[in-house]
Order: sequence, then structure tokens, then C-alpha cells
Amino acid sequence: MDYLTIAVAKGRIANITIKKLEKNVFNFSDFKNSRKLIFEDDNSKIKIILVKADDVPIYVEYGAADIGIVGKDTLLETDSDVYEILDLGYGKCKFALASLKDFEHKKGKKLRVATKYPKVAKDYFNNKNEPVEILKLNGSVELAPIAGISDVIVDIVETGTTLKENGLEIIEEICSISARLIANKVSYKIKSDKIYEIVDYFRRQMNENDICK
Amino acid sequence: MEKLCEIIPEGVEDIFYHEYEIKEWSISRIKEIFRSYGYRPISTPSFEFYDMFYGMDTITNRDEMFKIIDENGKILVLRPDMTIPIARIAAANFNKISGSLKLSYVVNVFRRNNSIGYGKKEFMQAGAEYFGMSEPDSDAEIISLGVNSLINCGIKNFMIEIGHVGFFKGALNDCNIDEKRLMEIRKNVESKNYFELERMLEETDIPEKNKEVLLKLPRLYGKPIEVISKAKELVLNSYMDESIENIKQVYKIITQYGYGDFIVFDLGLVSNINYYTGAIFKGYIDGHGREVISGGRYDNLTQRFGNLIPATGFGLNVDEIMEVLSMKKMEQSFKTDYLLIYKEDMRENTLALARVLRQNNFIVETQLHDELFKDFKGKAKEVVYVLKNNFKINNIEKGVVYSCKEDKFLEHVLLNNKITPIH
Repeated sequence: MDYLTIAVAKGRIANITIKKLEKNVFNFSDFKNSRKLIFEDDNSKIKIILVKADDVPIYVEYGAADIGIVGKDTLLETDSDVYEILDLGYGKCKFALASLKDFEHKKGKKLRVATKYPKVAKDYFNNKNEPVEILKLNGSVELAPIAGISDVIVDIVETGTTLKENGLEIIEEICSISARLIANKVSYKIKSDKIYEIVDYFRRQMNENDICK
Repeated sequence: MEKLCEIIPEGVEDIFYHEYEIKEWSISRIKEIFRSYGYRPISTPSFEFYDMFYGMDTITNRDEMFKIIDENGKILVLRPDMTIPIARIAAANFNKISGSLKLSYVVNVFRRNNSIGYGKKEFMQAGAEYFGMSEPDSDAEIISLGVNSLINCGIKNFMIEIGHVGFFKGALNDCNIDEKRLMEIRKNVESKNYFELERMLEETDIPEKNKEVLLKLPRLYGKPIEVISKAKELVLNSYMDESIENIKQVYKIITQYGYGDFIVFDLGLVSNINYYTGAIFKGYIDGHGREVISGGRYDNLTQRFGNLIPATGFGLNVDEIMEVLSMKKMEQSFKTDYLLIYKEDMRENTLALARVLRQNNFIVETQLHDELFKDFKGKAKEVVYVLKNNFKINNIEKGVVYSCKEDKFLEHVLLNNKITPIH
């Protein structure tokens, strides 16, 4: 039988995912301290490939991976043509609109927004019918209002510490984010049984966690 | 200024002959099938007035259309798909007495495609449209025609999923929800996002029984018979019942065409619900992530052109098919049979010989002798030096050289052709 290929976003999501998968059933012993990008479990016929978060939806949409595990933030930003079949519940954080504590929005002036997620920011303000100018940055977005190149920021907030330490505060929460399981449209139909094995596996773990709480 | 003379814009491409021959071959195979079902080929302008596309529920997003302003300041659009032009033609030419009109096309369409990945902006669409019939027989014919076209291109490992917009619309019948919410629900059903859908329905004020049905939609796919029996239990009104009966009938007829094995049902297939009115379908090839064919029933479209005619049809993405076939490394490329080399004194004889060979369906190239060019490897199956008294023949494939008189050569060649025609 064919391997089921899972594209996983490198970093925190990959670490949690592999840990969860390894709990009892699957075996990816070479994951730790390795710089490999492909891991196979011959027993269960599962192959994991590690790619950058932004690329997970691309691998899945093009069918290079059957399913993928990636944060909702990436999905919102890329708008890809895949099935989103499960909220995995981990990797939780949220999108928020934040500004310097003493910032006051003067009516009639277009708001300047700095963000790593231009599409998320645009959709959010379009929904509110508010015209804005968006500045795409690639990191340390919290700096932008301090440096005076933007009025507000749209960014991912986990604990809020980074915001606080830089004198920023949340104006509004936009939406919450967590890791999602996505599937290629063809694989979903053809490898349905195998995919639902994985889905059910994750679901069982989520239930166990609920009981522990 | 940046010089752009040596590169081509993003989203469009040159197709060199290795691939283009495959493309042409698949086009001819598709056209052959269209013709054998009696679908007449037509052509429409590459660009038309934007007004025609504006205000219509179309398959293509208006932002994705290429717009041009003409010399009178009118806005034109490079054709984003063929359905609207073809609906216009059908409305103008439909003859109520004959009762049906079957049209086909193979054209390039243009869309500004900013999605992730390669984002092609020009691609070739082959399609067939059946006007005038609303019975399941016409839906089944269109789907079978699509299946048959793919098979005729040598593709067998594919799957057609069939859904029905009436089932989804019926599940929301009498529920007062605004357009925006409807679109969000639709999006979550389509992307099989059960959890988001559940969350959203919790905030929506519609009866519990409707919510229950909507929540079942993402997993209402699989073998037609199973899906039908599951769907039957969810029926809330006559709209939903009729939709199921309709695709059940369509499936039965497709089975009678002999194509039942390619079909799965997916009642969560709810794309373009404002445009489609009945059974809809999409086709995928195993191991190829993107859809290659999509279509469905659109009974309301021709109304806009003043003549309400039921219609169903599909579009095949020829470029995707080409990509699938090139990956399989199919040997479609043609090879020259004879390369005739001549010196000036033998030119007339050579050209006459070439004419005879070509009349017998051989691919023939002629070339003036040049000392510099001696390596003919891969150029032709046989290289023939046309000399005054005899021919020197070099069979490249077998690596043998022999000579003979013209009449012997011709006799040999034509006889061989009769026994084993090469083309």
C-alpha cells in the first residue's frame, strides 16, 4: 500500500505533532536532534515531511503531501484550495489588533497598519468597512508603532508578554488560532480510510487530554 | 528601464514541441469524442464587453478578469471562460422546434490568478454544452462525455464526484440568513471544515433540524448507493428529495453508459451555488492534486439573453491533462521518416520523390547537401542521399548503410508501408 505523506510545519507545531504521534503507535525515532526533513515509519506506512509553515498548504494543494498540519494563521493568510478537516486544539494563540498605550485614532485619517499577515489585516478591516494602509513587515512587528512607521499592528499574540514589554496593548482580538489538519482534495477521497485513522487518533488524544484536565 | 525582450510575463508560457505535441494529440482525441456525440464546434471572440460579464453570477470572480479599455473608452474583457459567450450564442440561435442544441469548443481562457503556487493566467479549456433538455439523461450524457474524453486521452485512474446544489439550498430553505452568512456556511461545507461549521451554526439562528443536516454535509460523500441512502434520512423538504432522486437517476444512466465505476457522490460539493441549478460535478486524476474537469447544470444563465433554455455542460482543463500525460512520459512525439539529401543537379528528382512519399503518409524532409552537416542522429529514421545513379541509404535506427536504385527503393518503401503502415 502507498505511504500517507504528512506535511508538517517546522518548529513548535512539528515538535508537538511528532510527540503526539509517537505516544504509542508511530515511530519516528530519528526526529530528535536531526536535521533530516523526511521521516518514515515503515510499520504504519506514514511519511512525515518538514516544511516551512507557509509552504504546508502548497504541498497539500499540489498533492505532494496527502495531509498537512499547520496553524490557522497560515491558512487564513494563504487561502488555499484544500479541505480543512480537524481543529487539533494545540498551538493555540490569537490574532489581535494592538497599539501603543496612549495611541488615539483621529477620525478621518487612514489608519496605518504594520503586519506580517497583510491578507488577514485587509480582510479584518474590509469587514469593518474601515479604509487602511497596510505595511508588510517580516518580523518584530511590535517595533513599528514605536519607530513611528505605523499606528497599529495586527499580529499573533500568545501570552501578550512581548506586547507588554514593548509598551503595546491589545485593542481588539480578531480571532483565535490553533493547529489544523488539512487534506488534499483527491487524497481525501482516495485515501479516506487511512486519513480517518489519523484523524481518529488525534481525536482520541484530544479526548484523553480533556479527561486529564 | 528594465529590458523585457527576452523573458515572458508570469502566468503564461511557451510550450516547446515535446509537450505541445502531447497537447495537440490530446486536443484531437477530445475533439474526436465531442464529434462522435454530435457536439458541434464553435468559436467566439477572445475579448468582449465587460458589461456582458458584469452583474452575472459567473464561475469566474470579476476581479480575476483581464480588462482592456478600447479606443472608445469601453471596457473589454479577455474571455475568462466560455460558458457566458456560449450561452449568448445558444440564446440567439436556439430553435425551439428541434428542441436541443449541442455545442463544443476548445479555446484559451484568461484569468488573473493570484493564488499560491504557479498561478497560470492563460490556459486551454475544452468544453461541451447541452442546451434544451432538463431531464437527467442530458446530465448523464454530459458527464459520460467528460469521462469518455478523459479515457480517450489514455487516462483511466480518475474519479468524478457528483453533487447537487439543490440539496444544500434545500437544507437552508425557509431559513432567514443573509447572503454573507450563507457564503460562510457554504465555504465551510465545501472545505469540509466540520468544526468551523459547527461553531458558526451555533451562532446562527436557524432550526435545529436544518443545522443537523448541514453538519452532516461535509462527510456525505463516497459510493453513490451509500450516500443516497444516508441522504434519504436527512430529507427535510421536497427540494432535497428531488435533488437526491435527480442524481440517483443521473447515476443510473451513467452506469448504463458503462461509466459507473468512475463515479462517487459528494453532497458537500457546493461551489458556485448561485450559478449552478442542479447536478454538478468535478473530476480528479489520481496522483494529480488539482481538478481537471468541472461542470454542472445552469438552467438560469440563458435567461439573461432573453431566452430561457435549460443547460448543462463542462470544461476540461487541457493544460492539466497535458501535464499528467507528460509525467507519464508518453511517446507521442513524431519522427521524420526520411531525410532526403540532394545536390543541386538532383533537386528536381528529390522534390518529386518527396512528393510521392508524402502522398503515402510519410514524413519527409529535404535538405541541400552540405559538407558541414554530417551527424543526422535522431533527425530521421532513414537518411537518403539522392545521387545520380543510385541512392545511398543510412538507416539511423539500425545503424546500417546500403545503396539501391530509385525504383527498388520506392518499391521497398511503399510495399513496407502497405504491410505495416507507420501512421
